[in-house]
Amino acid sequence: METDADLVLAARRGSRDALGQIFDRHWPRVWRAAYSTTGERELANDAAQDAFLRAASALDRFDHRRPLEPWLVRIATNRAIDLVRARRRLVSEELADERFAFDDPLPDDELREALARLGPERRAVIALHYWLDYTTPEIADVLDLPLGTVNSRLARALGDLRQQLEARNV
Amino acid sequence: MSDEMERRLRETGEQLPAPYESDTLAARTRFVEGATPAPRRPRRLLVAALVLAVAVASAFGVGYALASGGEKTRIVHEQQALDAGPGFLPAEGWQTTSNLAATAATAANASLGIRIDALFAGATLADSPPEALLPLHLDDASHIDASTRRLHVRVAAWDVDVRIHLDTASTAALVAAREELGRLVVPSCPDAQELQAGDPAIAVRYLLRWLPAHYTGDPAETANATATAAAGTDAARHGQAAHYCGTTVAERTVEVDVVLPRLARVSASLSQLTYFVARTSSGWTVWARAR
Repeated sequence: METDADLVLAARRGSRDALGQIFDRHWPRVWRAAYSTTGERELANDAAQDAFLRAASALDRFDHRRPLEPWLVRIATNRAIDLVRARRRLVSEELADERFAFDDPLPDDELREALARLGPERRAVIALHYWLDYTTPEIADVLDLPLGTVNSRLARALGDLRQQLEARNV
Repeated sequence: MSDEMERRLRETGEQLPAPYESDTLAARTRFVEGATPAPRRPRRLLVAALVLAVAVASAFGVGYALASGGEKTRIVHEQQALDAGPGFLPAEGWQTTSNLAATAATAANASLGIRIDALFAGATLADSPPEALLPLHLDDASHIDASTRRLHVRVAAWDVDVRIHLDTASTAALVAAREELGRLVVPSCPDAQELQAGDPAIAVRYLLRWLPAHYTGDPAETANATATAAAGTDAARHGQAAHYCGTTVAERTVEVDVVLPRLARVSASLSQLTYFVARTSSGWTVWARAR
């Protein structure tokens, strides 16, 4: 199987097949990262697609020795956070407080509701760590944040979730 | 508790949904096409594309008319009444035109070798084609020859005759043609579903996301837009919705009233827009702008 670096180099030479392989290899996880943050398919599609389109326009400048997925996930996650914030700005004040909710049902309803109460930044850290299996140093790299910030964001997110779940079970 | 919660988080992660295949196909096409360097085109074609783009804008009410003054080209802002079709909504990669009489529209994608011609006429009781709802579907079209398909239907009060020409029936071309047919708009009545308690709020969210790309003025004017909603008989313009599409559709419609703060400084009436929004089996749709 060709490596990402091989595919990037082939894509730079104009290979549509290489582009297709890059997409097929990374789209599912990049989309998942976006969806985990937005909770909405439509916004996730926008964010993930934006990541690929930006990547397409920057392939020439991309250091092909670096892993491709974190780069795509970084763009998609940041875009997803921006979209969630923008939506909050766009809707009326009355609706701005409305909670985030996943378009698709999740089997653990309690946890889904607790996740819904987290801000997109904390939800993104949870998603990257628990759902995409990134280590905290990798998350720091992806989100371009100091490791300490990632650690504290993750700890606070877990603390919030724990508190909410305990409150429900009192 | 922490271990238990982490276990639940990981299990939840395993249950996350996957993207829909249609979304994946569309995104894949855009990525592959977008990353492939576009061939250089003669300047004459670029000028033609600009003229076509301006024609589209005018057809959808953004309103620009071209006037020739000597060798210079003048762009005149012109408010048009038409902003709900019939015609094709603008989209990247497509050249779309509508004539001012609103009897014909064309959408062409040169890089994919697709041309879609649509003719619109008032439907008559005699010789009426089969009824259809928007969006139109490529799969419903019949083959005229190897490269052309035809879809002749009645949508609300309109007789719509569409011919789809595909130079090649590649997956990318078929996906793009399907999407473009979805952007064919005709003033029509939606197959609205019954409303639920939270639907006005969802309709507002949908409308505010939809607005910047479909607003017929400067998209920057939609910045910081706010909206309120009322559903069914609670809506101030329920009667207007019923007049357009009957009481059932009106009762299943959310009226979304939008305020554009930037325009409010200039004109209160220009800053207030009202749209009728409904949920259909294929998702939310903005089916009319109230006037």
